[in-house]
Amino acid sequence: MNNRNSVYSRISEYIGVHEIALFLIFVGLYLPYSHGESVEVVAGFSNPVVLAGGKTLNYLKIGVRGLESQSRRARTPVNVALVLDRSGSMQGAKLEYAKKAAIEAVSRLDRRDFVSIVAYDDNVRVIVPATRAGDAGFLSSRISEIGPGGGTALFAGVGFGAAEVRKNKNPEIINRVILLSDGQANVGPSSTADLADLGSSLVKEGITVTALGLGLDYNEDLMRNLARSSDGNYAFMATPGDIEKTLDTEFGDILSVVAQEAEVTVNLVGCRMVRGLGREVEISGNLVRGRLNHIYAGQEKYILLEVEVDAGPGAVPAGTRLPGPMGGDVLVTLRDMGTGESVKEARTVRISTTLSSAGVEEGIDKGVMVEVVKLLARENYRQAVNLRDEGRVEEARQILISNAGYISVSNTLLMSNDLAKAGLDNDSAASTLDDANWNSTRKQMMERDHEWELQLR
Amino acid sequence: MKPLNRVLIFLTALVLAAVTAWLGVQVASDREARAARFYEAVVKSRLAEVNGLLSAHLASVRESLTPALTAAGAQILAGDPSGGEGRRFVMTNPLVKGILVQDEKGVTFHPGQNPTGQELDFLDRLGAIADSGLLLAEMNPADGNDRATLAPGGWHPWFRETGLGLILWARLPGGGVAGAEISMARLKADFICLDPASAAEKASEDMRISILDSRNSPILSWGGFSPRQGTRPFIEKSLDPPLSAWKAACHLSPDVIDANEKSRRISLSLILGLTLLGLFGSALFIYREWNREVLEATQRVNFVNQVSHELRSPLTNIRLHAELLDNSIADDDSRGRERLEIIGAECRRLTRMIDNILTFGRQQRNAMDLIPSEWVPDRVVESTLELFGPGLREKGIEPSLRLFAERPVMVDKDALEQILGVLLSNVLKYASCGGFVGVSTGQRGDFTEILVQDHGPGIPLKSREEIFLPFVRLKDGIAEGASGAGIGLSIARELAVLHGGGLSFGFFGEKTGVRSFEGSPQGAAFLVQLRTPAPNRDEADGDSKTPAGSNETGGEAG
Repeated sequence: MNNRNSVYSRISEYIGVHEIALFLIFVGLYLPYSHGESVEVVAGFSNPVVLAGGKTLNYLKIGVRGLESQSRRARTPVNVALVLDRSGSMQGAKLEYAKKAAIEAVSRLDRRDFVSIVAYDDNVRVIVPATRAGDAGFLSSRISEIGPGGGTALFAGVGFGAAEVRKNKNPEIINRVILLSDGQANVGPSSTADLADLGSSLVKEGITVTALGLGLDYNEDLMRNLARSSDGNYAFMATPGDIEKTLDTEFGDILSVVAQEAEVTVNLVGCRMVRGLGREVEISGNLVRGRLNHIYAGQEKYILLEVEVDAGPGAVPAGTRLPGPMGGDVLVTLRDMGTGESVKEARTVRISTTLSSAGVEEGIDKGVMVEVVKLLARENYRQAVNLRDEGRVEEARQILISNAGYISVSNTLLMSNDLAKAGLDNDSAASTLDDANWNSTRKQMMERDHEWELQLR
Repeated sequence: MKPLNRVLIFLTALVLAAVTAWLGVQVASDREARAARFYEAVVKSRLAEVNGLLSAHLASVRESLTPALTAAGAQILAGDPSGGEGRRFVMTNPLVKGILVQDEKGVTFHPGQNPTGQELDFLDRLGAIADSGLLLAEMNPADGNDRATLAPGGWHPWFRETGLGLILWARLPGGGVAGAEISMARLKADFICLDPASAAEKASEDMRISILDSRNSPILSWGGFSPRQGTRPFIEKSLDPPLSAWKAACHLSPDVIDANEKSRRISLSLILGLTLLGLFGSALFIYREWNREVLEATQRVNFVNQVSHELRSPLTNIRLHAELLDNSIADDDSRGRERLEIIGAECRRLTRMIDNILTFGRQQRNAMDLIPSEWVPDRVVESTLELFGPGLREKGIEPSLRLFAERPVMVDKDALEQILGVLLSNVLKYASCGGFVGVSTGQRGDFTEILVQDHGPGIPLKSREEIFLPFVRLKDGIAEGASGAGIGLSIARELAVLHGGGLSFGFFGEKTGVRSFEGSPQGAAFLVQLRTPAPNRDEADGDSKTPAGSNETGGEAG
């Protein structure tokens, strides 16, 4: 009679095989849910219950949230290229603040990370080729030496930054180019399309570009589209003093990535795809694919699809064959940075019908609906900005006013603080459209829009 | 110096300077051409390198993409409904924006049954290409080559609003073609990052090498120099296909060309300047040296004149007192008289020499003037001969005379005396060994002629004009030991010419108005001709009406 035997026999006295089996099943059930150790996937319709009969619009949200607790584990190494604009317009305070902020930011990296510094004016100079971070003194001394120059070869700067990142590119680390610019690209390919194309091609190889615009003179569309096409971040810095905070936030983000290459595939069942909201998606018949790319700890990214549900021909007598299942089969794939492995999460979401409108109202998923209203309101907001750009002030104002109305009506049910604030923003924007300085007003409006977008990131 | 000489020197210097300048310009422009060719060569080779770099990169892109493209295309052609392979090809290749597949008949195949929005956009863009069957045409060139040698794939450039685009096409096994639209932005970014270090080395501070797209905007560039907007490049060259719509251009800093230009101009100007300076300097130097020598000569002459003038008065004094002494010594003091004779003769000789020198000086200054007055030439000849008598007799020479110039005429007595004095003293100095001197005179019309002959050694033919030049004394044997500056004959001639006539050497036979003595085997003869008009008198003199040309001499033979 040895100890092990006696322990085992002791345990087996208290717990039977069934309990163990149940325990295992429980764990097994939880596993798919919490197997996304780094992320949590939630999918659902805004109106999971619809009125039987007729066609209605519905919204399917698939959200991926990075889990906070994961930030305690060893963080994922990063491979970052910092691309700084040192054209003539950056001369003085701007460049000094940028350099100081850059020094601060790279000091947060250590030997696990790769860093490179690229500076451009007419020409591009690789100040620090891709190297292991950790020697803060060396990095800061090279950064301090950067002086102002001539034109703005933004495209080339991004290209070189990407080349430096490529040297140590690894799907198990975060590969990113961070661009800081205050002006218009005027040397080399300089159109929004060129930069957006470059961004799309970079994201295919796992490199994202974050675009940080400084001041009032940079080309917003260009910077934004560059970031968007490559799935990076975009930020507007009003003054040089904002650089440090923004760069800090950006570094905070890349140091907190829990998953990357996140992709969502949805197979719609019994409903028709209309469009994707707020994010580019690929539609092929009933198959929808969207890219979420990086998932940050403590933040959620989502895809919102507008679909048309055909709930059959009106009220039916009992016994009539109901329309087939309606909803979507969702598959989320990503790479978990903690384990380095690919993760697949599947969800099945269905819509049911009811004959009572009260039932519809009760079934509304407020969380999803709030996002829907936000996105739709954002679309209107941006349309108003475009109209005002064309000088059609009155039409722009009308849109903002009706937008505010739409928001407040929706909010009576949803009661969301975010929406309330959005409503107020629309109201105040409607009254500032006449401002003589449309340029700065526009920047402010776009910043607001961008803040909303950040929530979508 | 004579103005003509001055002009000649100046012109010569000018011509030489012009020739040098022309040569200099030739050399400079030749060097400029060579420098330009050198730069052209350097720049061309760099552009060719850049071109090679880009072409090599495209080749490697083609190599790496073609297998995947072929596989994806084949799958799409085979009709995979999910379109997985085709879509995956596009999604995983940063350089590829879309894939177009056509079978042999030109029917377009979509990846999967339901094209996505992006794919529809892509088909929109490439619609023209799809419809026109251009890709199929690439595959099957018209000249109907043997199937085996048909190209397996290649590049198809196409032009859109935004410029040049590239499609990589590949022949699909079993027929059909697959084309991949290349992301030009990504391609350009890759070009920009191509081996930047060595490319930068290839372009120095003075150059900027750029690649320009089809709209002439720069895609990328290397080099330290920033050309001004709108400057034309030094050299432009289209890239190799399929990028022929793009160009490689090189801007050269004007400093480079200018610096050389400047240094060339500077060195050229320096050389020219120095040469001109040298030329004109030498011309000036020659001019001044010449003037200096002339000045010195003039000074010497002036000195001599001055000295001679100073000598005159003491000499006159000596003569005066000699004559006075002559009057006061006793008649029977023949010795004393002899000595006085000698003193007198020598004084006279000195006076003659001084007169000659002074005359010469006047001649140099063009200050000679004749003052004719009425004289009978023969009388003047006789008195001169008297002066020379003792000297001649001492040498054993008795002058033979044939004097037929009895008419009084207007003549400068001093000049005539001086001329005769020169001729006679020459006889004394050079021809006394002949033991003979003959003087004949005659008058013809307005002219008086005097011939002086001797039986001395004579004058060689070649020297007969030379002896009339100042300072010329014949050397060979004749003049040894004889004194004299060699100015006598030049003075005598000048005086004779001034008198409207001349002095010449030789016998002139019947042409002259004198009856010469018979010549001897050797000897010299000098003929003086003076223009001596009749004096202005109221009563007509028979002689003055004598027609010209007639021989007035008597008929006596001598």
